[in-house]
This record gives sequence, structure tokens and C-alpha cells, in this order.
Amino acid sequence: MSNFDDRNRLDEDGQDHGEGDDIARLLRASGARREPSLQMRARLHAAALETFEALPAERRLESSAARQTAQQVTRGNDAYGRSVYGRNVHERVPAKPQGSRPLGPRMALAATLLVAIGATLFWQTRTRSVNESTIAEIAQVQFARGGWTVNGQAGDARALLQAHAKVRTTSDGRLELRLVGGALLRLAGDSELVLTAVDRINLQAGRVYVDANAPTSAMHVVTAQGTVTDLGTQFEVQLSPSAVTVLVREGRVMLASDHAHLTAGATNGVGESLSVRTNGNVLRHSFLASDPYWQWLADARAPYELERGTLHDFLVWSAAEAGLMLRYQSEEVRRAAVATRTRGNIVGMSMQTAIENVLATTRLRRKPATDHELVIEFADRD
Amino acid sequence: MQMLNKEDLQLAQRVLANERVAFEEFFDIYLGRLYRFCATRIGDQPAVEDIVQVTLQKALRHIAGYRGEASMFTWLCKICRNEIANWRAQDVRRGADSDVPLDDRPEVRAALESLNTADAEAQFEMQQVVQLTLDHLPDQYGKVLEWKYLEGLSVEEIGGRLQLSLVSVQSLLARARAAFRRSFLDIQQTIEAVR
Repeated sequence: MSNFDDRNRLDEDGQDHGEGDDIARLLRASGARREPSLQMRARLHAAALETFEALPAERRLESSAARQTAQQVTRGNDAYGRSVYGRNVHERVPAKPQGSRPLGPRMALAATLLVAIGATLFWQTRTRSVNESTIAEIAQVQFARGGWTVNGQAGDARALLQAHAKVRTTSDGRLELRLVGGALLRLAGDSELVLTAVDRINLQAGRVYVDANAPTSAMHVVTAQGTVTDLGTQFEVQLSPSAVTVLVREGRVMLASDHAHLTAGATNGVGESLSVRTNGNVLRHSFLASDPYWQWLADARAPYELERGTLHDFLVWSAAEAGLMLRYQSEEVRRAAVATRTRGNIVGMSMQTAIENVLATTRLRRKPATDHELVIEFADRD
Repeated sequence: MQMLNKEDLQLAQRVLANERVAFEEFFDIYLGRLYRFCATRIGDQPAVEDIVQVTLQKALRHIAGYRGEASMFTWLCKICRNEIANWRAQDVRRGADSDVPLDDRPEVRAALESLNTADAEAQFEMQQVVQLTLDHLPDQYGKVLEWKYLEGLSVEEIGGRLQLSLVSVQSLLARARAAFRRSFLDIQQTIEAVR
């Protein structure tokens, strides 16, 4: 630290003696503070909000025995493996309250019984969910347009799809599916895939876009030429007779083929595409996450229901859809967005038009910014 | 008499009262700080998100236990530190240590040795101390310093963002600079003391 001290030592008395050249120098040398990605922020916000909204119910747990029991069950399952400590796997029970006293013999017995019952119920629930996910419905159609089939039969809107269902779209077909594990799939035209499990699909032709923002385990897209595994991201997999290509719009993915294990990732609004050809050649290039190419996704998604939330919710959703980083000009602007309810509909609008139109009904507006940012400010500030 | 962190305590009470705006405020102020706190300790890996998530959830569930004796961020760091320790213990049990560290590979080691390590370390340490200082300042102080000195915003523009007069912004900046200097020196001295 001594070299650093000589160059950057501040006034020893800690007083403000000027306009802050020393601080400016330090901050510029250090750079901006790192922030979690928009997608990570959205996932963490959803998890924290769920906990916040559950607070009153948890406060009703007045029995110290119940709390003690819950704590013990938690410890029994508090593994940091993906199965329990994975993203968006929320703790279900409160921890031991501060200052609680040791349990008396009766309470201890009651607590022991509750632990046993709780553990049994937990095991049964877990077993049931695993069985259900492997032998019953593992996905639901969220949106469909044009021609598409399930196991060769014409599909129904909102249909529940079972494991091993083969889904196919015709050239004008578009399909959005939600897997039980939480991942969202959008299938382009002339594409075909098999739903192997809640976290695994087998792409046999065409293109599939995966939004793996809230799955309980990593998503795998298996192809004849390699397997793509998400590391918390949005990506598309394209299959052609000569290559498998993955376009990473957010986060990182790993592509494992006979030839290599490779990763690709996106940062600051710039995505990366990775192609592995059947002869083993690898090609990479970058693209803007907001590139017009992604417009095809607009044809394959369920319409957003403005009535269901706040302006903030809409902006988070639209930024993710458009591949933009959402930023509020100030804390006051963010609060205004959280407090503003949205109404109307945006059916048929491009994402840019939808953002402009929705904002036009509020006190906020979009500020001109870089290509990969959606910056929101008050409309009456000039 | 013990000093209470009144603003932090009020925020905790508002969250406890189910005030949605207070929740958003809590989330916005502390998400980035916790993310950096965790990422600095375990590196850039997926577990950072898991640990930050559990930290936020535990903090929200136990926010009634926050008494304001320490700052909210210090209280959150304590929870986060425990979660990191749990994760490390679990990671060792899973055998994660069997991976060869990047700088144990000969070609990487050679590349690293070619760098001026003293300068690189000093630069990294300086970055850590500056960012730690910003994270420990009141939220608005850190923001105005970054807006002014990193983004190059004028006093007028900062006033626009915060809905404050020019005089108020100048006063806020002066307080932020003084607080930064004090905290920075404190952190530097603490680091030197533990060496």
C-alpha cells in the first residue's frame, strides 16, 4: 500500500480543502462500482419481494416451538448444492428468533414430533414433485401462432405438454412454452424439439430461444452436434446440418461438443455468438443485445398485460425483451415508476413504440442514451 | 450512550410496516453493495447470486431484530459473511477444491509473472479501498461523488436528479467529500493496522 499512499494520500485531517481533485483522481482510477446485471437484479428482486410480501404471514408464527421446528428442518436441508441453494430456490422457513429461551421437556417433545412430521411431508412433497416432473406435464403453451403440432397432432392453445412430447412448428408457426422448472422457451418457424425433462430439451431442427432467468436448475439444450448448458442467461440455439450456433444475449452458456467445451457470454449490452461446425471449426462474433434480429421474439410471446402491475414492472420486462439495461435517472424517478400503475394494451406495437406510448401516459419519459440502455427521467425536466 | 443509526432504523421499521416503497428503497440501496461485498470475497461466480439472495431473504425475515446499533450495511454484511462461510464449508465438502486454480497453470503463471505485479496489486487494492469507502458512505453521498467525478455531471444536473437547489447540491457535495476522506483514511488505517 505504500506506493499507493504516496500517490493518493488524502489530507490527513480529513477536511474538505477544495473541489475534490484528489477524490476525482481516486474515483477515476478505481472506476465505477460493479453492479449486478439487469437480469440478476430482476431475479433477486423477485425473490426478495416474495419474502417481503410473505412477512405478515411469517410474523403470525408466534409459537416458539413452531419456529424452533422450522429452524431444525432448515438445518436438515440447508445444503449449498444447486438442489436447495440454487437461484430462486427460496427458503421457506424463518430462522430461530433472537433471544429465544431453551425449550422445556414438553415443548421439546412437541418440537421433535413436528420435526418428524415436517421432514416426512418434505420428503413426500419432494418425491411427488420429482415424479410429477418426470411422468406428467412438464410444460404449458403460453402463446401460439401459425401452424404447430404436438406428437404430430394439431396443438391447443394453453395445452399442457408431457415429458417426451415432440413439438414442431411450420414455417409460419411461433410458440412460447413455460417449463415447470421456470425456463421460458420460444420456438421459431420450421423448428422441432423434444421436451426431455423440466430442465432439458432436445433441439432437432431450427431455432429455440431460452430465457433461463428463473429455473431451479441449469437448462440444457441437447443437439446432435453438442449440448448447450445455461449458466443463468438468455440465449438462442440454432441448428443446421453443418453447425450448431448459440447466441448469448445475457449471461453465459457452455457449449460441449465432441470437439471442444467452450463458453460464450454477453456483457454491457454486447452479446456473443459461438458456432461449432461439424468439422470442428469454431467461429465467434459479437452483436448488440438490442439488435433488430431479436424482433422475431416479438412474434412468439404472450402479450404483456399492462393491467397486472406497475410501470416499473413493465420497464423491467420491456428492457429484458429489448435487450436493454434499465436505469433510472434518479431515486425519485424510480419511486415514481414503482408507484405508477399501468393500463391499456400494447398489442401489435414494437417494443420501442410500446415503451414510448406507455411512458407518454405518465410523468416519465425515456432519455436519449446509449444503444444498450433504457434511461428513464421525469418528463418535465428540461 | 450508544449512537443509533436513525435513518437505517426508520427504513427497517418502514419495511416491517409492509411499506412497498421502503422495500424498494432497501433493495436498491443494498443490492449493489451486497453483490460487491460477496463478489470481492468469493470471486465472480454463480454462487454470488445465491448468497446475495439468501442474505436479502434472511435480512427481510429478521429485520425486526435490527436495532440500529450498527449501520444497516454492517448488519447485512454480518449475515452475508455467515452465508459465505456456509457456502465455503459446503463447497469444500463437495470437493470443489479439486479444480486447478487458474494461476497454477504454467502458461498463465508465466503471463502473470511478466506483469508488473507490484503495480497491479497496488491498483487492485486501491480500487477495493475506494469502492469499499463508497459502499460505506450514506447512499446519496456515494452517488453524488460518482455522478460528479466519474460521470462528469454538473452541479445543475445533479440538482435535477435529486430535485435540489444549486446551493444544496454544493453543500451535499462538500459533506460527501469530507465523509469520503474520513472513511477512506479510516479504512486505510484499519488495513495497515491489521498487517
